[in-house]
Amino acid sequence: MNDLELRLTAAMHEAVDDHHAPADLVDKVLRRNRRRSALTVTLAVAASAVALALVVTVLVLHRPATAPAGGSTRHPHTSKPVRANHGGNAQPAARLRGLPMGAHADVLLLLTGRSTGWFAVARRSLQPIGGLPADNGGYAFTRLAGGWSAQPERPAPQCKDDCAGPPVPAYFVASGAANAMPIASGYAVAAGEKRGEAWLVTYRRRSSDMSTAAATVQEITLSGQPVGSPRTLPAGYQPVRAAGNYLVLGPVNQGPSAVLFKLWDPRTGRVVRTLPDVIAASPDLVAYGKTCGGCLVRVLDLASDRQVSLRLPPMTWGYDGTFSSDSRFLALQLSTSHAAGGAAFRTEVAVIDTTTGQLTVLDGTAQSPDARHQWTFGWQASTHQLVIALQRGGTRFQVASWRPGQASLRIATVSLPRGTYPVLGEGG
Amino acid sequence: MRAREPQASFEEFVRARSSSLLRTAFLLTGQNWAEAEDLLQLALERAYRHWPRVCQTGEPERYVRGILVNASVDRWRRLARRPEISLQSAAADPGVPDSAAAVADRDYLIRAIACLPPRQRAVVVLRYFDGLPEAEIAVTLGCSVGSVKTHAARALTRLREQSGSASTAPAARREGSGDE
Repeated sequence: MNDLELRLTAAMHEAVDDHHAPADLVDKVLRRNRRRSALTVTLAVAASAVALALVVTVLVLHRPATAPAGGSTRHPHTSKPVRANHGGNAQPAARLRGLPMGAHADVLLLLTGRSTGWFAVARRSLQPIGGLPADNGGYAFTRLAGGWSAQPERPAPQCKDDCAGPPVPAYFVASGAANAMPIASGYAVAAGEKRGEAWLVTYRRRSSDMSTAAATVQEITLSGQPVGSPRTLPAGYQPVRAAGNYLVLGPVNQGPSAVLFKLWDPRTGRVVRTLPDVIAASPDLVAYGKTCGGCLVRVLDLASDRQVSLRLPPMTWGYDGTFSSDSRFLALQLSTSHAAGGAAFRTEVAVIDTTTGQLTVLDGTAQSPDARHQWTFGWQASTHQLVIALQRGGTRFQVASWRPGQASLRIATVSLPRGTYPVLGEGG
Repeated sequence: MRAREPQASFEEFVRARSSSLLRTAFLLTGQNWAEAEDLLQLALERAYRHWPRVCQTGEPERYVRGILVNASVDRWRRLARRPEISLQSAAADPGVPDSAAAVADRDYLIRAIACLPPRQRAVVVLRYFDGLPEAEIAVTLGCSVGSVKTHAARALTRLREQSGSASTAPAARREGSGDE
């Protein structure tokens, strides 16, 4: 072995050799297997009852959606210093903290895994999504304007490293809808700039190495009709979503240093800008910035080509964010370290108002990066209601909601159907 | 009693090999113990369903390891659909950074392994952590010995390049922190 191989071996052993499997692993596996067997039998018996419940749930859930709160200027015009509203020394907790969620809260979770459906938190009821063929691997969801695309999770492809594998069918599920509609087949679907549009990603061959091959993108309607002609992306890149007249592209392979995204113009096939570490993108804004303590978060307005810089508090950095549907609010993960360049000891959810530059760190969300379960968050469709979910063990989840101006989270603890988990943010 | 024999054999296997398999799962998933445990549970559940047949092969560990590798590749593909966090922000160890060069090198290598493409990462883990010969890795991954060699060579090249810049990268980040 050469020096690198010896260092690799030593590094891996030092990192893991002190860890042991939990003593109750056998019980967990046997329980999981029993649940699966029981589920198969129970499903047949319960089918008629579920159908009846479905009808009732559809009638209850199809009520007008909540209108966005606030609603002043959509685009950032000024640069203001950010402000944190939290106690700087708050210690990470293993759970979300706040006030109880009211009985009439309108939080609706999209669930995936062993089953897919909409889970109404206040009623603790699940409305399954029809039109999605049964798939043991579950479905992966990607946020689109007004809903989600759903694609079955594929088994590991029996081909070379990073290969694309076969195309899989994609479906559109409108927010809260009881049925999915087929779109087309491809490797992935990315959000279009406008409602009703999407970009379908394909590769020339199943064996194409995605890290080096050029993907083809085709703008389509949500019924699968092509809009314009197909385009070839720069090699090794895939679309994150459409923003303005451009596509935000991310590299398939992301190295240890800053990840370079590209703003690509499908009309000319040219890269118009390179952006380090994109935090989030919306139809008209892109937030990006290096993940280093106290660095700037830049928000680029694609319509005016103006950019606003927001300075985060010292020793903190933001990443992995998501815009509200009207682009006014950006929710992101804010990490804090003890020293410049150090590892994070605390992670919180924060929200930036893109019209004022004000940063609000959400009290009750502090968590250690070492926590067994990490929260996920995303905006409820067409509202300014942020939803945060944290698994508490087994099927139990804490679900929190927050709206701008609210001093604390509103929290409910729910038990989700076994083998399911919520999809928030941009998908999963 | 006969019906319980496979379960007893399965329990014995899990008791004997689960810690080792969990460590492999951790390295395959990229430093996430919760994901690693979920992955291992999934692999063991699948193995349990076909346990008599798995035992007939005489190599249940190879079977479970194969599921681990394939499931971790699948997981990576799911994550690849959205932007991942950068290596620096993915740092999992809290507290004051350790300045010892050896520890820094180890941490950097472990994170760099997590950034490898899934098959390259699998080869690195199976070869240098589990100590498997290339032929056995080829069987586990369902590819030729030549492919294993290619994956290993590419992975080592990448790690060597990243490791080579490791000594300057963190310093550069520290200097850059506080301002861009």
